[in-house]
Amino acid sequence: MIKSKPILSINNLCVNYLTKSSYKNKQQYAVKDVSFSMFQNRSLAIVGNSGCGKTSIAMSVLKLIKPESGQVFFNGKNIHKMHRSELFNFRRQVQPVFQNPDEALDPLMTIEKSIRMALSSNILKSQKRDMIISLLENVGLGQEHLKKYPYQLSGGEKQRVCIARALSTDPKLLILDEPISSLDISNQAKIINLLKDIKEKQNLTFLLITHNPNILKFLIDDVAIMKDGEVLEMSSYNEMILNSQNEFTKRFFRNEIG
Amino acid sequence: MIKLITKIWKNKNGKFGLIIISVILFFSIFAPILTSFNPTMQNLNIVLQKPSFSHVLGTDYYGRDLFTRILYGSRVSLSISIIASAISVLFGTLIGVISGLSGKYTDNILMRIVDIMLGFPKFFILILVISMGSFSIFNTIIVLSLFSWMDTARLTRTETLLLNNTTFIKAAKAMGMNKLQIIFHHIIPNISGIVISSYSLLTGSMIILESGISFLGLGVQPPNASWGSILNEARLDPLGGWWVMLFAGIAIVTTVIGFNLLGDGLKEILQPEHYQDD
Repeated sequence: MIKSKPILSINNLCVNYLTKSSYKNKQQYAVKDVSFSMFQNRSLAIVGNSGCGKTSIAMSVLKLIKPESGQVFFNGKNIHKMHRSELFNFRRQVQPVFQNPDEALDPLMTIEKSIRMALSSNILKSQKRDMIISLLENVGLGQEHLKKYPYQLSGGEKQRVCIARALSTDPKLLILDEPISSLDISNQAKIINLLKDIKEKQNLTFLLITHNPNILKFLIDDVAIMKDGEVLEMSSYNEMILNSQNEFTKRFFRNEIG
Repeated sequence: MIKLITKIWKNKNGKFGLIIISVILFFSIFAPILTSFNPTMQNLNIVLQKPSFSHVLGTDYYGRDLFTRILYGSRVSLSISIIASAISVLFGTLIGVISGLSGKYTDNILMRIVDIMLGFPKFFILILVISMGSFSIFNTIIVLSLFSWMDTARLTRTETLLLNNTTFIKAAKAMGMNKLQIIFHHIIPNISGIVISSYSLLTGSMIILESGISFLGLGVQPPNASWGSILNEARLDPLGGWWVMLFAGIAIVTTVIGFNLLGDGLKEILQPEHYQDD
């Protein structure tokens, strides 16, 4: 592994949720003291069974939830201490692709408008349309989709639009939160191939959140195994497949845990 | 606008509502052209005449043409209800969106204010305010607006809270959009359906409120007419001049039904799956 300055570092991250009951409010930990670093061009997958805290980490990295404690550094800067302009730049460089494409697009916006909203305001209006067309072509969608609304697209097409939208800000890090889990088998394969292509062409780094071990070998270099809010082990994918001694990891890769 | 009207036309409820409201607005706006009678001029020689060719809806207790009075009366009833509900809905939406998007303290304070405001009986306050001063359209609009925004605020707050948790708003935040951009590009378009339909429904209930005030004699003062005051006059001899009460009542009921149908139609057609570009 080539060690350079990490693109993303997470130090002692703790995320908890308040569960309200009729008797008392209870703090429930989703992520307990998690630390890891990611390097440019080395994509990482956070894997584990449902409810182990994977998505909470992704949301913390995107600064969409406030962690209880711990820090998240992007290119060496603490994302919770960024100025407005720094935060804006950070947001443009870290883009998410969410699990359910049906909910990830505004139902009242055409595909063109959804992507247009993500484009930088510095780009000339006349250039924006060409950029949108080229972004859609990048993900295998034609111009005929520009004026369509999300409900007129299939699940796979919607996910492609979400990927095109994420790419429109020219990001460095793409956070893929279960990007194929709500798609059918044929669309799953197409989206994996698309992500693989994009990663190579655009020199992107992925932070992949998944409970499906089968897609790891196509997209990522390193794996972190999570259980009950903690990272059990982290290493390169090949090393983990060959040498992991952890029973939970072995069972996970045998597809016994989902 | 033309696209919206075309969509309303394709919806059964919306179509009927639109026809009723358009006809009533047409009669109201073009009242001076549609009738040659004066709404306040008394003619004691033709008191309480039944509907006939010369007086389509008959005459009232002072010999005034009822059709003319209902036409001119609609101007007061409609202008008060349309303007008061517009103010209420705009203010309620503003409060609802701010409440839904802001943190728990602002949200809590605004919602407690809503709870307190809902505790006031608006009809009695309206009567109190009018009886303290004199009736004016302006006073009535202000009081009706002040005590009618809370339901819209609650409704839009709930919708905003739901929208704020949707994945597409999370994506918008992750894109770097600020709160104002999110409000104008995502929240307002997505709640516009329920806001427009609640406006239409609220206008219907405002007409009833205004008629109630005028019926009690606190609204438009004689010899001017509003639908409620015509009903009030009909109270003197409901059976002797049954047509006075009947036609004024029909005017109120038809208008309220029209606004309610239009509101229901708008609620249906402003759902996302009906929203198409062409």
